[in-house]
Amino acid sequence: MARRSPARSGGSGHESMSQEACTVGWESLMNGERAGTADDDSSLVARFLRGDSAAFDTLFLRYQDYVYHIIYGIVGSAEESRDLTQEVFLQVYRALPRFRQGSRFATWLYRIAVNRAVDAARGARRWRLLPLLEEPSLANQVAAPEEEPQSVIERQEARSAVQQVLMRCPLAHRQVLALRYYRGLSLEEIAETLGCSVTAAKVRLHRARGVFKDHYLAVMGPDASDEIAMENADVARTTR
Amino acid sequence: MWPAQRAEETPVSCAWAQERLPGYLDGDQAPRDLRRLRTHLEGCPACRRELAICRHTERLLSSALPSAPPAGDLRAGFYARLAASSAAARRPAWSGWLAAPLAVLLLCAYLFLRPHPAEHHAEIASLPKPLSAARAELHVPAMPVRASAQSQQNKTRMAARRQALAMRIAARLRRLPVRFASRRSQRFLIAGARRHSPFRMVSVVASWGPIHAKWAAALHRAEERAKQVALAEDRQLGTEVRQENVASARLLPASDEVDFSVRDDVRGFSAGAHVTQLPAAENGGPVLVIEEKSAALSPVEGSAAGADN
Repeated sequence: MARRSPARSGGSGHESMSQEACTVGWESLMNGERAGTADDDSSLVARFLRGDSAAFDTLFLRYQDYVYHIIYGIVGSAEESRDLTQEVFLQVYRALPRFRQGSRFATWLYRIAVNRAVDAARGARRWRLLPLLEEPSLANQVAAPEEEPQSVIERQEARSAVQQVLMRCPLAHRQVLALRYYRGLSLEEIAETLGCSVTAAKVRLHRARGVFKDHYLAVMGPDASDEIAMENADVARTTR
Repeated sequence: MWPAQRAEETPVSCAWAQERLPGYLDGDQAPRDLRRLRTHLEGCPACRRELAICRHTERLLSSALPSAPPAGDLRAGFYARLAASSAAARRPAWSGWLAAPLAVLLLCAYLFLRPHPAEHHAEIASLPKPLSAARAELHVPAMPVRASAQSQQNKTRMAARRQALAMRIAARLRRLPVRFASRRSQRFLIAGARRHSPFRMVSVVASWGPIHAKWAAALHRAEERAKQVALAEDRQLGTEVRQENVASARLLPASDEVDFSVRDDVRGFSAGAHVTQLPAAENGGPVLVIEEKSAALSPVEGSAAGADN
């Protein structure tokens, strides 16, 4: 399956990451192709405000997947995330005339998406809206003949385990994890989106990872130990 | 000796080291701290294990990005919503003034004319039980069907994958207490969670529009009740699904059809369903149709089956 590479718009972030980061494959996220530059976005916004509706269409196409992923990380339901993504863009469409030209469109958009997703996740306790079949990726992977079914299923199960654990994390942690891992934002961009300092964003991310790790161990229990044992052997090799 | 050199020689505690592991993973560590941390890790198996756990969860998180939804779907939905909201905005101003008194009138009418709560209970009880061939329609992503000229090996692979898909569907169904799918003109309702069998919920489906008002009210009450039961059940039972509960899952010869049954010995029910994927829906997306093979579920001997409703 060809996964779309997550891209960021603007900001230097953690390009300098070295050490262990490269061993966990994170750099592929961070170095992903960028959606569009801030200048590009600004000119599209300006064109839209002058009455060019095609400009909004371009912005929509550029950001719909990213917004969807952030919402999905917080809400955990693909169907609801699609719905909320459309609502977010509707809100953006109406609010664009009030958008301050000095700020970055992407950050503003992500902030709206996070707020909308958090509201929805809070309200979700009223009723449960769970998708029957949440795995569009599984459906796509079915068509990949070169891959063994077992590995497809294993990967899918790992993904579903992550989502399950993520849904157990408090909303404040889910926000920051979604921005980092479902969108690949840098700490600077996370800070800008959440309206806090970079240090605060860093602390929040570290705490969120810790909470995720604790929930993961609690949920997976003995199932996780094999994987961790392999990782442990690897760590022992690299630290000597 | 410089203070920095002295610090390098000072052994660090496990707490100090573990606090810095996330930063170590990010490559965000001062060179001096990095040296001290590495020295500590070399001699501390507990911290190495902690680092292994951190790396493992980091790897999991980094690989968990879900695949993107079909872009066309979102655009179509967005522009439909935009058109609807623009149409609403174009309504004449006086309609807003008219709406408030009209709403008050309707509320008064409802308060005077509403049936007694006991009658609602009777309405719910009068719902046909079980509804035969209950159907549920839900939007699902498209599952590509391969061309008929496949090698035997590919067919076996496909069968294994579909088998897994069937198991997954069964597992999903098994843990869902309430589900709604809505469209602009119609509202489909699948409700009726039972205390002892969330699976049994796939029993009521109604088209909201043309249905008789009395039925609509009854279904609304059923929906509210199902939600409460489902939430209570969620608290009691959790949402864990064990795959061994799936008694059988087989694929029918026709393309994307799954026939399966679920058996829950703990709560004492077995149930079956037939799932078909239809190629197109009103909004262009594929539709999954679920039909109960038998709405009358078979209680397993010695169970507390059917205690509710």
